[in-house]
Amino acid sequence: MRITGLEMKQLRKNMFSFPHGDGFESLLRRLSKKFIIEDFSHEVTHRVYYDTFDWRLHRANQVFFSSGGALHLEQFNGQGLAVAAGRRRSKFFWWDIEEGELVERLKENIEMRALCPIIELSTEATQFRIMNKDRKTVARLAVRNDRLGEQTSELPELIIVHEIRGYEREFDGIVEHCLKRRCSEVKNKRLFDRLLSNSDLTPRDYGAKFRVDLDRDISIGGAVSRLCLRLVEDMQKNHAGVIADIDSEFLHDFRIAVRRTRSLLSLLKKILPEAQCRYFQEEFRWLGTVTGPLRDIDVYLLEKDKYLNMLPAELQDGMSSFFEQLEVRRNGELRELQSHLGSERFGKLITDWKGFLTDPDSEIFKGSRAQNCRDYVDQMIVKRFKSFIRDGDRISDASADEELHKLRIKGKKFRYLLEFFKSFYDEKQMSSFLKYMKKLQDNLGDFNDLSVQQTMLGAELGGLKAKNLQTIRFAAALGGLIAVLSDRHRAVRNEFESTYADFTGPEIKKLLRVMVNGSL
Amino acid sequence: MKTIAVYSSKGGVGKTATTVNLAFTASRDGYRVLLCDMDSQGAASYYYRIKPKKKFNRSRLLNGEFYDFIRGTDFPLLDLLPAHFSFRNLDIAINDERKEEKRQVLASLLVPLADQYDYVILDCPPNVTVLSENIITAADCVVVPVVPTTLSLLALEQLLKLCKKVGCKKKKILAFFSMVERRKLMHTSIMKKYRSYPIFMQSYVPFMAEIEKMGMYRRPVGSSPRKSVASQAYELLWQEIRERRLS
Repeated sequence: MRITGLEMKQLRKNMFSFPHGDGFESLLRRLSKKFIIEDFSHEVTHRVYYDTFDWRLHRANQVFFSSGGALHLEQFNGQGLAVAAGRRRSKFFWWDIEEGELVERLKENIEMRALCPIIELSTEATQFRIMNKDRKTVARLAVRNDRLGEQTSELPELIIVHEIRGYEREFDGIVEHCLKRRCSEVKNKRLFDRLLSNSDLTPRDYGAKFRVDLDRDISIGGAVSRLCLRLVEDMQKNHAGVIADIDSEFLHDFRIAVRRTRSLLSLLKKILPEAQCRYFQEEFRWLGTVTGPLRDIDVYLLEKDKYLNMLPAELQDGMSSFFEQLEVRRNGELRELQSHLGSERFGKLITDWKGFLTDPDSEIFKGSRAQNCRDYVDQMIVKRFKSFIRDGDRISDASADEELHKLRIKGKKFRYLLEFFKSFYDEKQMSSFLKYMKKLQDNLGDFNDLSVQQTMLGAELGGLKAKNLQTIRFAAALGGLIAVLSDRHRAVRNEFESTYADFTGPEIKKLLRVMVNGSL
Repeated sequence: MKTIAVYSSKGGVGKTATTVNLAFTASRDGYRVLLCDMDSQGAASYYYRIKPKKKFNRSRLLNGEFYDFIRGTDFPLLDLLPAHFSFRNLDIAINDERKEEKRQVLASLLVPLADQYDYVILDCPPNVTVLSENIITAADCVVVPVVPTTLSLLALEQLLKLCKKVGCKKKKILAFFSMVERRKLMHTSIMKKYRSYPIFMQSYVPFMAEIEKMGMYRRPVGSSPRKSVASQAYELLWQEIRERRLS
């Protein structure tokens, strides 16, 4: 008989956690009655683990760390993905690392986000050979002591038994000894999981996805309180990152939380207590305004390569000074924003807002706000959808751009409404509806972005005075960009009609009818 | 996966020392290596301190049930299939196979290992039997240690004849001078005459006490932390084999 395929047995690696004390020493004493034991390596290593604020690597089941002058990207199971030279830093962007596989793999997941240190680990490890009477190694044993950051207490001592092919009996014997000696087997062999569970970190505790689960019988006031507390929490989580200017997305997420809050206040303004609602609307509008200029600059800087690629090589040079100026302008805007976010006005807004949302005597829980939220939201969704369709149907090829912008804002508000209350509805149906919505919103969003960019570049061009060759080059580059953007603007506008027709088809109306259990 | 056989019909030319050290060097270069000790004397297994498991024997090998008997050496990526006393009759057992399959027995046993190892290195017994024919057929490269003496050269000639008989290309064969003692006139004059022949590699392995002492220390020469002349000789030999036949 001949075998045509072969699956060699996977070598086993069992881990045991020992209470500190002489547990391990006693195990060695026991084993030395049967085997010859020799330590052959002892090393102390340091690692710093990094991830983005929203755990993008963790979400991709990857681990990134710096150790011994190199940067490593691994899978959760310890399998290496890429390595590059690099020393530890307070934060990394992918563009801070030398080009190569590591950069390619990182940028796919982290995009523009910074990798920040999350765990510092010092490890002291000793390896032992377990040998038979011929001095042949029949198993390997490692003992490691891990210490996290500044913590003075170590993690429980870890014993790792490695099997050597063909010496199964010896491996089983050693494992049996470990189990007899008060040590518990560690089932999850992923080191990173072990570190996380011993730290005060909660993986994936922050993400850009918005979901608040509301009880079906919650009151309007209760729902608004839950939703807005989650949003203010998002603002507070991102606040430090904006002030420290860690990466552009802290401000982006901060602004989204502000925009969502404003949207909710506006959607429910008829039912919310008027005076307070007006005050908070005013203050959140202020917050939206003061955070705007820095974000506008960030958008340009993030898209720098895209802009340059729109231009032929001979015009690209002219844009470089523009981006340099933007960097300078950004520093000024950042300082301005830092002072706003550190101001008394901001502090008062957050305190007042949280008080309004949590105080049991708050107006938000009284009067008509005590009625059932789900019923009210059902009606609101139908009303908003009808109004959106009414406006959308009126748009023709001859309509002004302004009409499309208004529709975009209305659509955005409607989408936020669905996202706030999506836990009331069938998850599958809601996500299918939101998918239709997103396609249309993307078209309208692109149209708006292209309008804003053209206007901004046009204003830049209008303010130029032809002093020197550099200015002329810049003007030529701006002209080139405006021409490209204008072409795209037209193309996106032409796509609107078919995208809108898809959204208003009978299928989506049927879907909405089923969701809100009513007629349209 | 490539198969390398270290073979000579003459005994005492340094076959086992070559196999043991080439296998170690290849694994240290990061390749997954299986050393198969086909010689019932079990010298390669002895050097690596590996004994066969009780249930292992020739029949298990020939039935393709030998994978569970492969054992890990003390070195990463290097495994060993130990020899068994019953291997002394391996050629007789192979002879009992059907005529048309007789020369393919070993080659077909190695096929399933292709995903597990980059190199299989065979330590062969010193004889000219149907087992030798199997080894030559299965190997991508036959490495022949030649002591610079007349008898050793005769053994090489015999191998070339065998190669022709079994229909293998002569190109498979790569010889090198082994156990060279430069103070011996015969060694230097034979080397001078034959070294330029294409069948011979430029690398050679001198006669050294360090290699002889492997039996005492029971480990390959390259495994001690200090880099020795002997380990360098095997490194050069390995590089030349790879460049000339395995790339």
